[in-house]
Amino acid sequence: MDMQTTGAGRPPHPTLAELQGMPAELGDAIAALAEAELAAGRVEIARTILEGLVVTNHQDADAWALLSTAHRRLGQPLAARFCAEVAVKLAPADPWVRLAMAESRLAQGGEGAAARAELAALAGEPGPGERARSLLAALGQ
Amino acid sequence: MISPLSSSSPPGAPGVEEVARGAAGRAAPGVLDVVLQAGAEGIAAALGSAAGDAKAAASARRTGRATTPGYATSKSITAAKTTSAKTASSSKATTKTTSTAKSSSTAKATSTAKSTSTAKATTTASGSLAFLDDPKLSTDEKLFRFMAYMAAKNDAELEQKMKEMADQAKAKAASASKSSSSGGGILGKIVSTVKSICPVVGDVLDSIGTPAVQSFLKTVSGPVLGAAATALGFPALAPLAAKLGPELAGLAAEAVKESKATPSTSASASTSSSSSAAGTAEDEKVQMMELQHIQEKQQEMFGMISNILRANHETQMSIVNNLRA
Repeated sequence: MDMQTTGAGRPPHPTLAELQGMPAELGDAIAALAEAELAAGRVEIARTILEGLVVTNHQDADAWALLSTAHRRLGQPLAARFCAEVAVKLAPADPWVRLAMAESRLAQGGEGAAARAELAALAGEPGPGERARSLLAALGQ
Repeated sequence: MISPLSSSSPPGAPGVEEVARGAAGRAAPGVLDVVLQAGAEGIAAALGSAAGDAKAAASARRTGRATTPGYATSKSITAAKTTSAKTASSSKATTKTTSTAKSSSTAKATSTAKSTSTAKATTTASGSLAFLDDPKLSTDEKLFRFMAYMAAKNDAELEQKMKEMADQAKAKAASASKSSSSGGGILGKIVSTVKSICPVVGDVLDSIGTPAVQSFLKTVSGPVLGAAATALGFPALAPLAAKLGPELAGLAAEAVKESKATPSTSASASTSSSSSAAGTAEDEKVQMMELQHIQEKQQEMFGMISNILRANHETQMSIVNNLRA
């Protein structure tokens, strides 16, 4: 079953963020905070924040991608892959989401070739390209 | 996607600067230092706004994006506020009317209930503990009778507990014979039926039985599973996933196990019998402990009353001795 949209292009089931009147800027700030926690090594805190964010707005692909990263860093590759899959479903063209997917594939093992191909495709992107190139270099390519 | 924050924030909604300031305050001092050392542009921008910088407080990955779906627009924020205000006022009104309407009937009902319960309590007290009100009886006599009353009560409790144990043992024996004759539970039958109808669902259920998937379901919390179900286009499953979440893993695994179990397999039969035997032994232990507890209560009560009696006796004897001296 695909997500059905109304005539206005909005999904039929509003998110909690919409019902609460939460602006996108607040979501961005929370995501930035979670990213800072991840960068500082407080992965558990980041995971808690991101879980709250994806529950508040399940359509936020970036939050799902970051949650995937948090799970990967916590040593939970399957959960990381799950979150990455959700993110890809929501925003298949987003380079950051694709990077999260490739990383989760690498963490899970067994899909190294697909992950490498994805990283190679991402290498030219302005945002996540640097990390993709670093990962490819680390993988010997 | 990211617009200048302070200008686009709707009135009443917490601004990003406030949020970032709060965040920096909460996570300080480590976050700022680490972020500045790492040189992550997006995070630095986020924290830069906390320091009064007018830059966008969003992460680098979000810059240049159109709009993240699922968040409220300024119009919908106003609508949400109006709706919530209306709901609050209407709920208040409803509460008021309901409470007014109910108050008279509740008062009546309470008084009736009170009178009934008081009457009952009085009858019970006057029935078995009537001796406590008897002015002719001495305190010693009353204590002795009270001890006898409590002993009888505890004996009755013990007897009832033992009867319960006996009934449970009988019921267990009956259910064991039933399960051995039928083989597999209801869940197993449902799963096997579903598998025969739709093999894809069968594969999914089989995969749930694997330890890796079970560990995944346990690590991802219920609300996240619910959100994922909604995001993937199954909003109807969201409440179930959110509520059951990690328990879903155990339940599904159990169902798959039951569907796989056959009565002819001796290994599975022996496993189930051993597990049920272990469960029975544990139940028996618990019941024996309950019995022991009742007995201990009885002993404690005896000890307390005999101590009171002894203290009474000693007091009287000391008075007598003093009088002699």
